[in-house]
Amino acid sequence: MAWSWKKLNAAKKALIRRGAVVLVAYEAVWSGAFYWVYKAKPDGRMLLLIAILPTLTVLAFIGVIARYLVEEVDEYHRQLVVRCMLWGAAAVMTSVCFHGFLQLFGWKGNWPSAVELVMFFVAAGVAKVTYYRANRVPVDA
Amino acid sequence: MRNQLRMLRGERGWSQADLAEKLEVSRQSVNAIETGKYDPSLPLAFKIARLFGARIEEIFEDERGDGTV
Repeated sequence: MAWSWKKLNAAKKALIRRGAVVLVAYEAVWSGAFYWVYKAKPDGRMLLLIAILPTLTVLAFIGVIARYLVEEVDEYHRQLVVRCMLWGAAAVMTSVCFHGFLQLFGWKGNWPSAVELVMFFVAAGVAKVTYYRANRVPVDA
Repeated sequence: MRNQLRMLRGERGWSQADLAEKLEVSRQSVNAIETGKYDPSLPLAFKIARLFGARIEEIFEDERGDGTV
């Protein structure tokens, strides 16, 4: 069955619209903050304040998902989204636990910056594809 | 949990898409319920029962079915 915007319900359309806005905002805020720190070389409290800015858009993204879960009338899809988010959360927590353990014992290596965000989306995306493939609907009859 | 959804739908000549529209859910949801991959919530089970003019326990059957808790 081909993907179609028209077939999406109101909650999913709103999720995609809001999600796109937040992702664009994340890119803009992150790039802006990066450029600001790169040019102005702030330190101390100012650096901490600037570092908080990109995290606000991440919180906004969580808020977008939460709003979708409230607005989605299809409970089956709602539970699929929750399961995908759990896989994403599992990936983030595993990553934090893994490199946190290594750091405890003096590991000096560099964990890629913001890798947890990437891991969240990859794990949630793989879970989504897996669930949807496992629950593929046959030709209607 | 076993259910009679596919049979009841078939009796009325409805497709999964027809039933999904009447229940205001996706076709994936109807298919998942029919194949036993997903058990609906009580509100959705009541909605299904109202739609078919039957009681919930006439449509959904506990697989233990022996009356024990």
